[in-house]
Amino acid sequence: MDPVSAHEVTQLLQAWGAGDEEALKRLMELVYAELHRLAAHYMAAEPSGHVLQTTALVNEVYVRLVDVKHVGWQDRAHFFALCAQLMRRILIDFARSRNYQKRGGRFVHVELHEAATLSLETGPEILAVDEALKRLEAVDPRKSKVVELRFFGGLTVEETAQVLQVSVETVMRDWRLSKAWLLRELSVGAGDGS
Amino acid sequence: MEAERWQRIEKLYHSSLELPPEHRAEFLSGACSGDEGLRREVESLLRHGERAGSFLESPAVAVLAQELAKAPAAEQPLAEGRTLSHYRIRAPVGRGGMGIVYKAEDLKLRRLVALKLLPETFSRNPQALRRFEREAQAASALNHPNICTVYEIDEAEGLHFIAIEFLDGETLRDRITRGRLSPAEVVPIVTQICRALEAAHAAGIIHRDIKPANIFLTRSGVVKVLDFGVAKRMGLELEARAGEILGEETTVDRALTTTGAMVGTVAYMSPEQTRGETVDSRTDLFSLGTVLYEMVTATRPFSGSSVREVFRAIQSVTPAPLDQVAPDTPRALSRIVTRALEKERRVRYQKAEELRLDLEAVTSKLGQRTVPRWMMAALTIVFLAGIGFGVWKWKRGIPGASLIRSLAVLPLENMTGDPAQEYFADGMTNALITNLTKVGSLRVISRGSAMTYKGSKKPVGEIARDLKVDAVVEGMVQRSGNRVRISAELVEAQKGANLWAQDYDRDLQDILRLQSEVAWDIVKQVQAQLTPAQKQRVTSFSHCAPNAYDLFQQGLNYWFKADPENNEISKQYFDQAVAADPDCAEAYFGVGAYYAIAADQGIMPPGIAWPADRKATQRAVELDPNHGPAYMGLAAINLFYDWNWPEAEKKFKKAIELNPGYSDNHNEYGVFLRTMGRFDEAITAVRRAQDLDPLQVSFVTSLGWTYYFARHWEDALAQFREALKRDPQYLSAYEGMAKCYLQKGMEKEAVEELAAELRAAGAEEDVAVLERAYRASGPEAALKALYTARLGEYQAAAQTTYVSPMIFANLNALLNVKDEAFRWLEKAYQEHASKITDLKIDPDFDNLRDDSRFASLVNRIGLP
Repeated sequence: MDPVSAHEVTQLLQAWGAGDEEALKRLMELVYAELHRLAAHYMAAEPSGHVLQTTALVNEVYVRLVDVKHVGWQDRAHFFALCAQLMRRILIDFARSRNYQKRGGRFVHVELHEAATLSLETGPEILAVDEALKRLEAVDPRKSKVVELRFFGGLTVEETAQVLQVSVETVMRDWRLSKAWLLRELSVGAGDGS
Repeated sequence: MEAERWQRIEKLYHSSLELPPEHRAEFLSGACSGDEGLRREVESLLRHGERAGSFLESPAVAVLAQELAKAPAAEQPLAEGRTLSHYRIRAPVGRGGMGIVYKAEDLKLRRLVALKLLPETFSRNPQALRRFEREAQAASALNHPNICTVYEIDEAEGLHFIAIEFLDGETLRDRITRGRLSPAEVVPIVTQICRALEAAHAAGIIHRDIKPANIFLTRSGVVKVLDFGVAKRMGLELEARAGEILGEETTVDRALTTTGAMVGTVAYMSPEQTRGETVDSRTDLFSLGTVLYEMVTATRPFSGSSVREVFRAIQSVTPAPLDQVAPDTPRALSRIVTRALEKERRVRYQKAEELRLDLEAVTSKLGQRTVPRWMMAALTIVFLAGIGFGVWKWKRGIPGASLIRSLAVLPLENMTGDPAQEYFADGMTNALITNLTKVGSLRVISRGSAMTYKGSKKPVGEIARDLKVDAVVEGMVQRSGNRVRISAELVEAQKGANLWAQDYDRDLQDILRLQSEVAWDIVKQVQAQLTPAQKQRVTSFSHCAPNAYDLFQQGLNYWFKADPENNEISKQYFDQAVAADPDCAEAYFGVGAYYAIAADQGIMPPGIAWPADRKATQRAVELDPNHGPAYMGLAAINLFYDWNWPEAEKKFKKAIELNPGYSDNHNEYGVFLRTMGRFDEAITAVRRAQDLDPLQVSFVTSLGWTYYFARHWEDALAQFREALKRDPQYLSAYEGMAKCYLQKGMEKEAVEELAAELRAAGAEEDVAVLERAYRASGPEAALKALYTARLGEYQAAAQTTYVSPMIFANLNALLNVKDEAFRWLEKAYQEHASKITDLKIDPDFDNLRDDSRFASLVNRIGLP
């Protein structure tokens, strides 16, 4: 497959930012395909075959997707924010598709707080994160944004700070509380006494 | 949770974290001052926050990547070479609105397709699946050169896909991002979109989503409308388009409150669509207007930062006229866009055809515009150079239609898939060619050459080079019930640009009118010069009952094979055609043509064949006085049977006048001319036939024989050699070679050629006889043995069937048995046998020339 043209993605992000929902559809496909391509590539490079250097991978995805050289910093921050939103949409989509798969099948409920990472089995729970995040947004939009950028978008604390134009400390504090809150929210009903 | 309480929680949480864990409980109970709920809340958050290495620590996107890396093969892009159902994946070529698109090979039908694959994630989404299927169904109901053909929708190995026509090029959207298009580029594109819409609307299908992303510009210049995914049957339901594109939303109101969404998609909607009203075909014309506007200006006529704003613009803003935004736009084009963008449907264009005709009128007007007028117009505008350039491009851009002086009609494809219907498609091809041969200024490749491309996959450019034509006509024919459909397109050869495409759907009753209509449309497209009489002939047509015409076409299909068996079969059909409609000119022409073959091949006594031919052909001409081939038939009777040279020449000329591009006319006239000893004219005439029918081997040998009778042995040999190069089974060419060698005194070579002929005919025993005689007694004896053997065979055959006396005369002359030769010639003279007209020019009779009986025969026949 042709590597995704960063320029094209930049244009699409702009279009989506301006409200073009068609652009989002196309973006999702592009990014999905690109993720897929890179993931397979990274996986093949791993001797063990199942541990991914995820940070590097995510970095590469961004480098490929955002035409860093051709956009100013202001735009770049904006793009990162859009990318995080995009990733969120993709992940929800992915999780939903897993959900379809599960429906009617043997659904194994895995207690999220015990899982170190999300996995195929926990796919549906990502929807719970999304739901919880919406509740968080209602009371504290910035924290919800921090989670979106960090968790869904894979941005570093520094990048998140830049995007939100707040200090690194604020991001760290927000992130800490949000994580605690989310973990608690998600464990409700999973036997955690709260 | 209230924001205020949340802020307290946040503050307490962070304060607690700064304390050593053992002091937190104490701090909290003090800080919460009896608010147990608050204390529990913060404590539970602290507890959860201590959890190290939770899943939130690694970005979800990385998790997804990890999953994708491990995902089953189906999730991976399909590898090259993989087969899915009967498609072999070649390479991914792009990503469509719904999924990845692959270039693939259809292993069954051996053609390239684009495989539009739904991603697995979408495959599981019933809504996406529905959309996907809807797209396929709507589009597959349409069959038009300007609509992307849907071949198949299927599922294999859990993957859903549509196989569509493979297109090479880019979308109009991609094209516009590179910059605005000149009016010269715009017109051919929009014209083709109109044709697609004409076909769709005629079928009751509205596209409803005409936008640049749905218009595909192929490299060859053919425009294809894509994605009939949202197209629906007209009048079936109330328009809920505005809601539909917003996903599950169903009312326009909700769409309007969703700010910032969908701006890109709604920009091409019609006012009625934005109001959620019922749409009709005029909606597509409005959308086309917006597309046209954007093509010329690279900006959308209606814009806004939200759906609401865009809707408002569509409903109430009148965009600035095109010629103001882009000053090089012809005023007429600007007016077309303004009319397409009328808010009120009744004022707008009512039919795609109207829009197209207006566009075409703009084109022709501009094409005819004289330079001085343009200079005057240009002077009133500052950018003189710019305007001039615009005109120049404009003129060149109407892609060289006026430069087309020659074209080939490739065999129209039989779209029914029923091999029994082949004759119908072939008949339509033949009729179209014959109609086009009425135009003198146009070199139209004749049927014989055109038909060699039947089923050929050769690229159009190559075919055009083979035939040395400027353009080709391609198309498809379908007959179902009493409807007949033709899709024709005209493709310019050099660049492969599609100049014109048209879909015809008519009652079978009107088939002859249709044929003339298609021919006339093509003539108009290539702007061929023609006399008023020619125009009248192209546009006129005779009448035939559909069943009679059908029988005629079936008969013709056999007749073209031109061997005695098939000729007999053709007669059955022609007779039935006459019975079905006693006023059908073609039916009589067919009957005449049957007798002509029978007479020409010497398998029916001339006294029976020629008069029967005359009777039928005469009737054909009475019924259709413009029937060129029928005049040619009458001329042949004058030549071969009546020996009435002036009358024959008059009719040949009439035939040529009626169908100047009909190759047979020129060839037969050449035969007449050589009979008259006018060899130079004869050679010119046969060369003209060759030029019109370059792949027809019989014209190559015809020229060979003309040279032979003119006694240009080397030129004749060259033609026979060329014929054999093209078709080693062309037996008469061996015969011609042998005769030339004999005249040159090269008996050995002559014998070799005759042996080769016998070998090609599969007569191995005769070859053995010939070679034995040759080895034993030399070439002359071998030839004698061969002629004697042939004589014996014909004498045996004459016991049961008619054998032309000319055959016996000829063999006896070659054997130098003069009396026998004259006896047979006298008999041939009595019955006006075919080929006796060659007596004076044929070198075979050279050893009879000194005899007074020879001069007497020549005199009596009246040969000049």
